[in-house]
Amino acid sequence: MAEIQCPNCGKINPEGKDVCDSCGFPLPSQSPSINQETPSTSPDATDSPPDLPSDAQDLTPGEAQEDIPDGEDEGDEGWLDILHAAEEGEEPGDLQTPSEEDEEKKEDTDWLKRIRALDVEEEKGQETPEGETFPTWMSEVEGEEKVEKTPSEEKQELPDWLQSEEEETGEAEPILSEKDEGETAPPEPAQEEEGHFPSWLEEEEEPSPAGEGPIQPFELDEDDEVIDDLFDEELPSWLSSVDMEKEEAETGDDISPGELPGWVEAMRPVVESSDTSGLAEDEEYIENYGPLAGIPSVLPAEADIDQTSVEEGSKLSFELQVSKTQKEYASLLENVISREGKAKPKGEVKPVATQRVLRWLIAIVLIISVGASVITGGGTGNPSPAGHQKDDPGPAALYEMIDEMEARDTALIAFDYQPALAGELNATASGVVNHLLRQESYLAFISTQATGPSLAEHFITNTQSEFEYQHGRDYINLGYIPGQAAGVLSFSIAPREIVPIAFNGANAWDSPPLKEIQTLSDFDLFLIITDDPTTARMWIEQVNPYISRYKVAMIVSAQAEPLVRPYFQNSPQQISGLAAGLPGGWAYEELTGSPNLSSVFLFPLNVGIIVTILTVFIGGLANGILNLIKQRKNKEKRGVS
Amino acid sequence: MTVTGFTGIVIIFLFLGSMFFFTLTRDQEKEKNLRQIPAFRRIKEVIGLTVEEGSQLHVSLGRGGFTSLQSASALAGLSILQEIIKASSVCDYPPVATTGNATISFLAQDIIQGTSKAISTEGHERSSVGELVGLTPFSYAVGTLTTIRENRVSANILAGWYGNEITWLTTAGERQNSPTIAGTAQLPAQAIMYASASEPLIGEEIFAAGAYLGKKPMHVSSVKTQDIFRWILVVLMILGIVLKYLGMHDIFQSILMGVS
Amino acid sequence: MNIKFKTPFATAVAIGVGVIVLAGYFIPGLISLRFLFLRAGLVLAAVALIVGILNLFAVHFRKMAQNDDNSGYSLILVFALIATLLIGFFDMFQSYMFGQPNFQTISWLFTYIQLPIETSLMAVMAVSLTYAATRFLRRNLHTYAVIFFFIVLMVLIGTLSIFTPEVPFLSQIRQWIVQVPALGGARGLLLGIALGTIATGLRILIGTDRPYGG
Repeated sequence: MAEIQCPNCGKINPEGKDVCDSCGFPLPSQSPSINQETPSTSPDATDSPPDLPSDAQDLTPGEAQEDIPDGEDEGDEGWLDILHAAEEGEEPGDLQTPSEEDEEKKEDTDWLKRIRALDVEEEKGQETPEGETFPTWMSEVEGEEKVEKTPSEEKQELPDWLQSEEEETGEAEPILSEKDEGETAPPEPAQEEEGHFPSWLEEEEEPSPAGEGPIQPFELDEDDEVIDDLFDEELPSWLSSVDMEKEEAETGDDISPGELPGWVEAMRPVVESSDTSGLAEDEEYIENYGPLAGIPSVLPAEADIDQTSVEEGSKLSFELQVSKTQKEYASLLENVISREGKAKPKGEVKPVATQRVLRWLIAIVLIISVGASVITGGGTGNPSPAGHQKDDPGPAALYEMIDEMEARDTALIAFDYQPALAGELNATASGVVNHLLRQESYLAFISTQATGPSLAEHFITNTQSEFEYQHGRDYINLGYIPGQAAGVLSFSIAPREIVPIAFNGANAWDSPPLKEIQTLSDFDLFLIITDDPTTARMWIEQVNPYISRYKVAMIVSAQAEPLVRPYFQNSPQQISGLAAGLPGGWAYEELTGSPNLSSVFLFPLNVGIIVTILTVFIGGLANGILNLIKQRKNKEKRGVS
Repeated sequence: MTVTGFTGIVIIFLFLGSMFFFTLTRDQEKEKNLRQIPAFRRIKEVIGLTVEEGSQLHVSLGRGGFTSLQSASALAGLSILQEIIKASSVCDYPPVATTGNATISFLAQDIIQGTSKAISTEGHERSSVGELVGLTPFSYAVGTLTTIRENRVSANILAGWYGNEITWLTTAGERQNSPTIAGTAQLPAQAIMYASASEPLIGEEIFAAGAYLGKKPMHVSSVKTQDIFRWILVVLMILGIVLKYLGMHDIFQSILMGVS
Repeated sequence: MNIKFKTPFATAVAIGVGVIVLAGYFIPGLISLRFLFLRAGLVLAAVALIVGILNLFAVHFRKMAQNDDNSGYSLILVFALIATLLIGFFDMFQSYMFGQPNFQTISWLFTYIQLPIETSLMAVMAVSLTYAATRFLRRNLHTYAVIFFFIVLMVLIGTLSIFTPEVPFLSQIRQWIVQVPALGGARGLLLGIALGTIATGLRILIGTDRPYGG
């Protein structure tokens, strides 16, 4: 089967094809001219395109007819056929499986067929039986033999821009003029396929050099200067020779849209029309301008381009158009990023005002209540302590220990409490030490805290001043032992070595209170006064192996009592006497029969406790209820959200 | 050697052996299942917040000495300080440490220098400091208040030996709206912490700091060993209760007297 | 060759001394050595106290030069420290040289300045504790917090001496709370603390924990 080579892209198409499969260009065996008004075209084309190469004018219907076999459409529905079918009310799908009737119909409507039936004797603009017209050049071609024109005639028919180039270069003319001269026949295509070419192509037998004949498509000649020019970095000769000034002079300042050549006009399926009646449902738009006029569903080229907007656009600046909101967002982002590297100074947090008010309120209430009870109350007329405090065996055991001591027995007292708790422990210990002094016992003071020696001096001077005990004669202040448990252990092992001198620098162990003391066990009583259960435990654990447990007793703060009492209550006992807090001191004073500081401060203590209970109860409940309300509100908010 | 001494030796060797055993057979996957202690989680949170805010952490090590029962709490506090310095190395302001004991202050400064050197922040113009702020409990508390009320201190971690003076520190933190994570081995102070601190460390939780904050192998093994011995003590106590109920509690006394 | 001896030497000394002191509790032959180390530790603790005071002085002396809100308080501290030190030296000199007993001036300072200050701070702490107790339920409102709150109230009521004789069960409740659940919980905590103390001490003995800058 003979194949046809497309003159536009050079693709080989099977015989019988009307248009190229690749680019859609009408194949040379059929006339490409179709009347724009109707899908079908009339082979009677009377218009001759002024700028059509003279080679194309040699196209005869007969040759076209020969080139195009009948009925061998191979089912290729070009866009032209689709258009025609649409105008006749056919669905595009109807053409997908062409039947014999469709093929016949197609044959009837095939514009290529009409081209074959062109009558060269019909005048320009004559309607075909189907209302189609062909350009004049087509009509002139009909029925005529190959017309040979002189080069001068050809020159007249060429457009001016082509004529001027020929005069200057003389290169274009050979390309366009020799096609009809028949001097050279078009060379065979590079491929071995045989195809029917129009006469103007077939006349060229040999490949001509650049500028001397038609250039065969897709055949590169190494010597071809045109080809060399194309791949040369410099401008090709034919382009570099163009005189732009002359061109501009010829074209002028006004650049008007060029007129379409007649054969292109003939190819247009319909005239410019906005009639969309024949369009399918998905075809909404029909192009009205340019070469694609009449084709539906084409992207509009000019419809959306407003000339005024184009002109305005050229006047607009190239600044970024940013709205006010976008500017704010951008500045915000810039601030956030710039702050990232900076250390933000933490602002001073002021305490909540209610906290301060509440604290002051509590303080005022406590001061007033306890102070008033100290001033007005106190003394021996106070209510007796509670049952557990009266029946507490600790003070009784301590009383017995001290009561069994003889005159000039030495008691070692450890003042291991903080000055802050001197108020409670001085009051608790005053009755006990008072009993000791009434027994005419020698005293020795020791401490593992730096403030202990001073505390001891203060105690003996202020609470026991009636006895007028003197340091060095009646008591010895051994001072401070550093190192906590290690110091206590060392002192327990070798007291004379660890504390060689007294608090005032005198030799402690030669004084009457300590003259007969060699080891810890030589002391007749070891009384530990402390506010810290850990200190109490430390003393017990370290001295226990070095002194009989029957000689160890404690006076502790009320806060240490729960943890120290087991040492007294358990079996075997590790301490033999215990007085805890003001109630314990009061109980001891009751046993001795001589009220002291504990008896004075017991009533104010109770007043303070009552005020505290009321404050904690009322305030705690109120805060608890407020917290409940707040939690419920939060739950409701979460439930709502 | 007394029975008590012999018992002590046995306990020490068992403890040590158990620690080594758990260190050698360490399973990192199972270590992730350590019981959650909210205080340590909070410590990690405040470290992160401190880094984000560009503020400062305050670590107070208490007033415990190094020669008594208080030393264990002090050592736990030093361990926490070390982990916090490591974790907060990217803070704008390094942590500030305050103490109430001279020996602990030296150790704190040593730890700060050693840790800073290890994480290459030594010699930085903003180095951590370990200050001795007071020698008596209340003077220490008042001296620490100055640091707590610093504007750039965002959180307070109190780990060491405290007494009643911890009330001052926790209420000062509450006034400043800065969270206070507190832990001590002193029982009266624990009661105060439970009532006033943001997150208290109860009992021996303070000794687990190295395991929770630093994931150190020996610390994790110590925690496991403590758990085992805790169960042993529970069993022994229940056994003693049962024997006492059955009237056989004198058996142990007889054994002890016979041995001794 | 730069060999750092500090860390391994310090670790070796710490471990060695710790092991000897621990062994001295169980091995009779090491008792004297243990005692020697203990006495050395006492001296070190006393020296550490003096150095700590000097450190305190230096820190506040530096703070005096800074222009911040607390520099005035640092000035007062430095002044008070120097004054007390001088008075103490004077008293010591007086006592040793002329036999004046018992540091009277220092005792005066202690009695009329330090003691009232610390006692006042303790009183303010009582207010703070009361305030903390009232705010407790505001911060924590769960079962254990409510139980804690009411136990506090029960113990306080049981401590009263005024009308508890007429209502004896109140003091009995307080007694039971203190001696049974509170003491039991305290002992449990103490046992746990003891275990933690053992673990901490052993970690130092084996060199795992090195708080001395290793």
